[in-house]
Amino acid sequence: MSSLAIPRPNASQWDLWRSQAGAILSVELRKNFITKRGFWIYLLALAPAAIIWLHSIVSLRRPDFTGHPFSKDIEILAGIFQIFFLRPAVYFGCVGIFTYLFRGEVVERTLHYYFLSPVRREVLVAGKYLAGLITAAFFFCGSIALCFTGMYAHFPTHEIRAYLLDGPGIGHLFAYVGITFLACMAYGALFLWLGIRYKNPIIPAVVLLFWESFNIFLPAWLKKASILYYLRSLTPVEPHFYGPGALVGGVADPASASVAIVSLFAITSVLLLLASSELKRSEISYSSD
Amino acid sequence: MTVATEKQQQTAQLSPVPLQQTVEFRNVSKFYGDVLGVNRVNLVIPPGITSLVGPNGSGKTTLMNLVTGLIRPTCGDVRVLGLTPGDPEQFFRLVGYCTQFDSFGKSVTGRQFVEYGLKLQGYSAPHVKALAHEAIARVNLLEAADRKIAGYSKGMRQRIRLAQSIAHRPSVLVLDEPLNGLDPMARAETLDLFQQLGSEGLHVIISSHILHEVDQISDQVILLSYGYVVAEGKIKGVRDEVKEHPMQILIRCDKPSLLAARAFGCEAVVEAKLVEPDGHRGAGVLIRTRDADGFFLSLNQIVLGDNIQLESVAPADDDVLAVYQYLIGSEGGGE
Repeated sequence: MSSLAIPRPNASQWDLWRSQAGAILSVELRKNFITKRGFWIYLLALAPAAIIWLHSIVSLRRPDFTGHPFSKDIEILAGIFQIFFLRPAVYFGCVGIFTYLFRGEVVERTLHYYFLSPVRREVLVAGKYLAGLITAAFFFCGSIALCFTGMYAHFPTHEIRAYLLDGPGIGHLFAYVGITFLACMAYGALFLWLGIRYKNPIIPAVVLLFWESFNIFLPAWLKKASILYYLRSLTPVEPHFYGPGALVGGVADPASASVAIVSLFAITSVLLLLASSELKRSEISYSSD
Repeated sequence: MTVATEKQQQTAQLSPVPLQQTVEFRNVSKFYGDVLGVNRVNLVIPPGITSLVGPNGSGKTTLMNLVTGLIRPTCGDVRVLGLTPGDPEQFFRLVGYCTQFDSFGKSVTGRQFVEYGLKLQGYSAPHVKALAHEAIARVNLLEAADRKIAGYSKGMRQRIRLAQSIAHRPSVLVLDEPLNGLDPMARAETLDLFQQLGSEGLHVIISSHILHEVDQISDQVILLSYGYVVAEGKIKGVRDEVKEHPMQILIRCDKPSLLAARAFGCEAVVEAKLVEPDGHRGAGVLIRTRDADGFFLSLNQIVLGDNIQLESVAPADDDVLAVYQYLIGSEGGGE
């Protein structure tokens, strides 16, 4: 077909998969990392950090300000993390990022380019999932780190130093960032699968949020069928909830850290296998979508 | 309908090309819910240029999507050079598909679009560059290669898709309406490219509604109607098999009236109609016959007996369009 003597690629299986996943990752990051469509996700991620930093800046400018004691702010951050950050923010952020990875290709009628390339569907799932995970982790892990620093920025230096260096502060920071990453990992896999499985993944996403939030009324073994249960089992500080907040806050009978982490990895793996299997059965029929 | 059945069976049994070198449909059906896509298709497509011809909804795109694994058959089996899309790493190194979907990633240039497909093939960066350049040059789009596709004309988008589908040097090239949107110059160049690819031993499977152009370059045609293959093979052979339809032969000569009168005497002739002179060409007679071979024997005797000077003798309907109209009763169009 040509005068150029270029041999067909003859890399080992793993090298081929790695280069293909890398190519998919770079293109998907370019397509999805910063987009106009994702504006609401960035807002969702960065709004709590912005509010907390605003509170700190206002406090710093008013020397007469007598806010909560340090220990109270530790608890307030834990409450914000559990009530706002894990559920609506990371949850819906992952809905927006991960469901669009495949659904967006169908809407834009470009999925066939992947289906017509020598890429296993499993590799395609892996490449796209990694791109989504990097995006979600960047915004949400970054946001919780900003929230953490902003929360205590208005306190005197010796109190901050005591908390970070002599107290559990650094451990808390790593825990929040780690839990956020695990949340992006598990919810990301869930919504990647739903984005392939359903034409409108928002409806199952809302149903699942309801399940995640209100399964406390169910028997103990059913409570464990929840990503949020394992995430909350890992939180470094258990805030005290009052009134209606007590209904959705707190976790009874939490799992140990090791069980929670292993369970989250296991759930993610199963969901990614389901996503791969679903994608392998997929056909291109843009007109019916 | 019998044309297809007999022909298909003959092709399947007598194809001189080993099955490992063909595109093969074995009793393939595809239903979209209750809607028929294609039904009981048995085909063996050898190397060369094969055209899929049929009106809207006849199943051309369905057949192409089945070949390339974008959809799966409801029943039956499709094999391309002995492979199935279930093994994408082998399959899509050998197969290129230029679809009708006129969609691209945002903000991507023509060159990036072609290069990205090659990266997924596993080529190294220098090879990606070289192959992309080669493919873009073949579709004559080098000048616009570094511009964003969003600014391309329809014909340029068509050509860059074609470049992407040939960039990895496939052995089987499937092209869904590849001439759509091309201006006459680009169309002629593209047809030349297809002929070149066909002569290099590739399977080039084309669907098009521009029948006379496809007819010029096709080694074989597959005629489709309502999801069924109604005929397939070389266009002349398909035409010969349509026995129930009279064949038309245009004869230009110096004594058309006399020839028409004599031709009426032949048993094989159904109709003889005088034809006016056309430009440089003289008057003639349009003969319709059910037995072309029998008529040609009689024609020899008439010409010799009445000393008629023949200018030309040519089949008037030995092309895809005529066969298509006979078999399908429609001029068809793109799917």
